[in-house]
Amino acid sequence: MNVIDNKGNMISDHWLLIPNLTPIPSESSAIVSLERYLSEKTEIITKANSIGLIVEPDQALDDIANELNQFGIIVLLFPKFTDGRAYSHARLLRQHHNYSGEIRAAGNILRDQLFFMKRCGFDSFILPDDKATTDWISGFSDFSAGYQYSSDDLPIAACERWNTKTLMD
Amino acid sequence: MYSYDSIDRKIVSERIAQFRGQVERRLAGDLTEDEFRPLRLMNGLYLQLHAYMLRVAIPYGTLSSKQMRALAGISRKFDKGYGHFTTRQNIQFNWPKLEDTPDILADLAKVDMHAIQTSGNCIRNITTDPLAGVAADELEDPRPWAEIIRQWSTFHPEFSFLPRKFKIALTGALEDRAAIRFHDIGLQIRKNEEGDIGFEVFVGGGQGRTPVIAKSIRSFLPEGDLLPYLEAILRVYNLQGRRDNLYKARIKILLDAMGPEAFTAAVEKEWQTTRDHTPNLPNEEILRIKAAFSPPKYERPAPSAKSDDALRRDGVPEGFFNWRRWNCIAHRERGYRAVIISLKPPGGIPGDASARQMEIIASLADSFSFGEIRVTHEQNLVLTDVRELDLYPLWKLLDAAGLGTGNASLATDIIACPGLDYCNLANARSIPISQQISERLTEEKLHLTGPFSIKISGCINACGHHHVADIGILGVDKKGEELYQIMLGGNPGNNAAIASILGPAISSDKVVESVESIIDTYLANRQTKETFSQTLGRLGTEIFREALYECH
Amino acid sequence: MMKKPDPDAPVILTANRLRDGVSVWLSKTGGWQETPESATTARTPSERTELCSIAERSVENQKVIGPYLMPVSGKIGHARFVSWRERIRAEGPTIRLPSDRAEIWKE
Repeated sequence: MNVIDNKGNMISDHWLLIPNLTPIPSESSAIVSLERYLSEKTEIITKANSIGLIVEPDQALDDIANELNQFGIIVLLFPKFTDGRAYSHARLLRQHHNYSGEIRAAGNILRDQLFFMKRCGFDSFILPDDKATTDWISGFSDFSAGYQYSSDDLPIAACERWNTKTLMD
Repeated sequence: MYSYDSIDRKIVSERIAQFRGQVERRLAGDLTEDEFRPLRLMNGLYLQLHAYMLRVAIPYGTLSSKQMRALAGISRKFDKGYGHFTTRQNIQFNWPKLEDTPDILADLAKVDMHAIQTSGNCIRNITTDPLAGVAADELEDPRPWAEIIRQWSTFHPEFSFLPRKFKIALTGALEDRAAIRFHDIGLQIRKNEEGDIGFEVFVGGGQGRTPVIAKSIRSFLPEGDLLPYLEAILRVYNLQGRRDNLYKARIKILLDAMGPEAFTAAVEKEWQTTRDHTPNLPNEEILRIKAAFSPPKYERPAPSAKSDDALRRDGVPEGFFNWRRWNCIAHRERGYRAVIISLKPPGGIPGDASARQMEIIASLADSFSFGEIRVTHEQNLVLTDVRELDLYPLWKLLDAAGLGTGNASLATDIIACPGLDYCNLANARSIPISQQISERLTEEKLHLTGPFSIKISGCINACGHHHVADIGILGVDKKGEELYQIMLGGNPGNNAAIASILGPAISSDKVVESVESIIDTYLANRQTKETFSQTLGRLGTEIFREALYECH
Repeated sequence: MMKKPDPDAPVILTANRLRDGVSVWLSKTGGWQETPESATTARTPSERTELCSIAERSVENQKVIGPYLMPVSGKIGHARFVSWRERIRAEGPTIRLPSDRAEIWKE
């Protein structure tokens, strides 16, 4: 499994994706499903060194808003590359919940989407196995400016025009 | 009109490079068609019945003469020498090759044009009143806000993979000429008691297989809150809109399922929490964009036109006076008119213009109207600022180019989708029906009838707006035969209404006489100054149903 | 998009060429041609299966997109088409396309 960060560098990863019925290895960095976290919270917290969540696009994070910052990573799943819900989840995590941990994209993604994902606050990406991934890095720099406020450091058109740091100045 | 700066240009040129790469990857087999389709659609490239089709964006329907000439050039160089202006104020080319499309985009970029988001499940071209900035009944020019929404929606990182397409229309006039109640979001500029400008926000309108009139979810949104509020609506939709069923994925279905109150509450809650993170533009930027739409240098006072008597003495034909009556619209500036160039000559293809016609229109815009052209959702063009003195010389030149038809808003000013002659989704042809109707109705009858709308779609997707016409015509396929359903009483404007079906579908050879008999029934029964919808409201549908089926 | 053809009707294979989008039909000689006149007709289930596997290969080789089996009547000329859609797709729009040809300009 190849994982890249939002500059295109390969990440050697300590996170383990733990399927729902597999026991949590002790002192691991375990990524578990939201359902499993909710039902086995105490045990997971005891066993794992650090905890990550994997979230389906139809799951809301509002119910565990107060607990979000204990997760070192939140993996947002793309069942299909045309399913855009995870973009909003990433934005909500950054904006509403002030989540500062890692947000990772997993599932069916295209390199043509990396630019959008990075702008919404994703930091890392699990590359699909069946794709030659050497060209993927260029996906981050498809555009050198954008019109909207975003979570990355891409220049924003209106700020460039008026030489302001953010739209809020 | 708004001119691109270096940032706008850079984004468009980077888009071309990106799309060129995507086309190369597709041709090399690195992208499958399933992966490529959403990417090409977001660049306006469809596959139709005979070929690809490229839809080029004309933001809020505003074009410069230079851009119009470039469109003509592209149609000659890469297509068959014509273009089709659409109900979303865009233009389509029907015969481009996939491998040529990056070069077409490069030619478009030379005049600050593109095909960004003209299709796909993203925020589409923003549409507005074609008379924006000149209409006598306008409260506030909507174009700066249309441009602000254009920029905000372009490559929006969060809203490029929505459940379904998303259309936004706005108007600043008292009369809604942008069909805002039939868009996913419709914005009506309002002034509050303090005299501040803002928007009434309508959500969930649309046509297609489930026609719905939008609901007003906020009576006044201060203008400074527009972008955060749009983000809030889009976020609720992106997260909660249905993705399991293509036909239930539009925001109108979500709004209906949640109920307007719950939907509005969700949007308001999202807005309250989001507005701090999604600020509006800096004020200087809003002023910069507003300045781009300041009025042209009108002649004051404008020289007065000759009297009609004098014109008649000079041998000016009646055709001019008819054209002036129907196609020349009141202007806020004394001595000027907005001129509708009809793309609906008798027997013509609604919305089509040849390359030469496009070039002639561009020259006429330069000579008579400050070099600007608008596209209307009725598939006509507008020269917004013509001196009354110039109307006759302008008409003579238009008429010589087959563009002088005086039928704006009349029964032959037909909206028609491309239908089965081009479209992969169509069940029946639309254009030939429109051609037959426009050849059949005499000028005398047209003038007698007055404003009257006929709109034709070749399938239930309703690209031809059949739900919002006085007479809507919907093509259906019955065992390989083209049949047409007739419906009455739709209205896209302030008194929004959805047409209702009169009865069983009729065969194609009966459509023209049916339409005429409905019009005749209206003429025979209307009271003074009664519009068709008023007569229909007073008499009900039965009398028209009888007229329709008497023909069979 | 297309209804499944009647299992007993003869069918020919059609698609659009990837590079330029032009409608093409699989000919008797095995190539993709721009008219259906010389298209190879499948009449039995095994002949249909053969056409489908050719379609699959042509998609994989980036030659065509959107292939489907199109029913034909067995007659010749316009009568070969069992729907308006297929006839228009093969023969082009039924309307005269706009053009700059000189005679329509009065000037």
